[in-house]
Amino acid sequence: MSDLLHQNPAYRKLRASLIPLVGSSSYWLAEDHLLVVDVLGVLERYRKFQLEDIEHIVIRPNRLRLILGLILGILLVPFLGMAIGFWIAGLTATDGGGEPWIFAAIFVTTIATILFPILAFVLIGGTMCEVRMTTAVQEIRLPGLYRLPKARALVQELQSATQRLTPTTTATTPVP
Amino acid sequence: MPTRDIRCPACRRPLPEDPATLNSLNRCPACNAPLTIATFPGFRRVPVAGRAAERITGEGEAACFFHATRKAAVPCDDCGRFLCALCDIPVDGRHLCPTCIDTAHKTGTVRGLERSRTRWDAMVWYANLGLFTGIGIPFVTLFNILVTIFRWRAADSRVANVRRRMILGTLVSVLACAGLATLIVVAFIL
Repeated sequence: MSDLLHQNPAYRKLRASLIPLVGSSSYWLAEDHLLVVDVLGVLERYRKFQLEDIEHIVIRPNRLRLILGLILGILLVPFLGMAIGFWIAGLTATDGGGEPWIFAAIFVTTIATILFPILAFVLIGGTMCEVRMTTAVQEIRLPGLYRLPKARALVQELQSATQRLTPTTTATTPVP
Repeated sequence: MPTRDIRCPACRRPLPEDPATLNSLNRCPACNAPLTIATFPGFRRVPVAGRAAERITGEGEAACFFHATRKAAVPCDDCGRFLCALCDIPVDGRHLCPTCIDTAHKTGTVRGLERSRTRWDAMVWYANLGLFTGIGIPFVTLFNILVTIFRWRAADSRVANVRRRMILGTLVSVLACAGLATLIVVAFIL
């Protein structure tokens, strides 16, 4: 029997992220709990958090975007330079000597074409961050939340969901 | 209000305990590391002590299976053993004893205790990476066919249609195998 979450009206999908060939993460909000489904390789893991048990979430921006951007940029620039140089050498060569340059140009252009979208993805998505959630019994790093805007949006949705909980289930004490 | 030990994830120094101050923080006051903190109603909740198991006070009172001196509160919905308030573990609206919880963990019979599932479709698609080796195509195809046949009933997921993905992955490997066979036949004919 299938028990797919997106076919279950009790759950609402909050956020999902995918890392090709590695896995994916998704956040599903029910009336009184948050279900985190984390797929890593061939294992699909479930973690359920009662909304009333969540104490706080800390979002810490990090420099991963800068570091990845620098690494990819440093890799990309020489390949782009080589591609331009090889194409010019191949296309301007006389008496049929340009063929090796053309092959080399195709090779480095292919690598640059692979690197460029990855660099663009790293730079465009926004500041990267680490998100940690503390409940009554544990502190965990939330998987798949690598971007600051998405992390903030998820936290806001969780806060509004916990506000909707009835006082009997939240069992909070008034702040003096 | 209970005190919470919140520390900066960067310098591990304690942060203010007041929720209003925490929510307005943009940086750690100690190390100046940028951070955002969102507090939830659970932050202010006073920890509630668990139910205490009552002692047997008179003759004729049923005792807990695990604690002979404690009064039975409910029977286990799985094995029927009498349980005191301490041994009663509510799961998905049912009352279970610790032994049945252990068994359920191992057998995966209680849905609310399920922690993970094996994604057999991912296994098929990871195997498909072997198609790029060329020579490994028949082995990958055989592996995928066997996985699809023998793991058809076990294949399940809560976020994806596993069986459809398994068939698709196996189909890709079968097509690659057919392509390789065609190439070999054509090479022999020519």
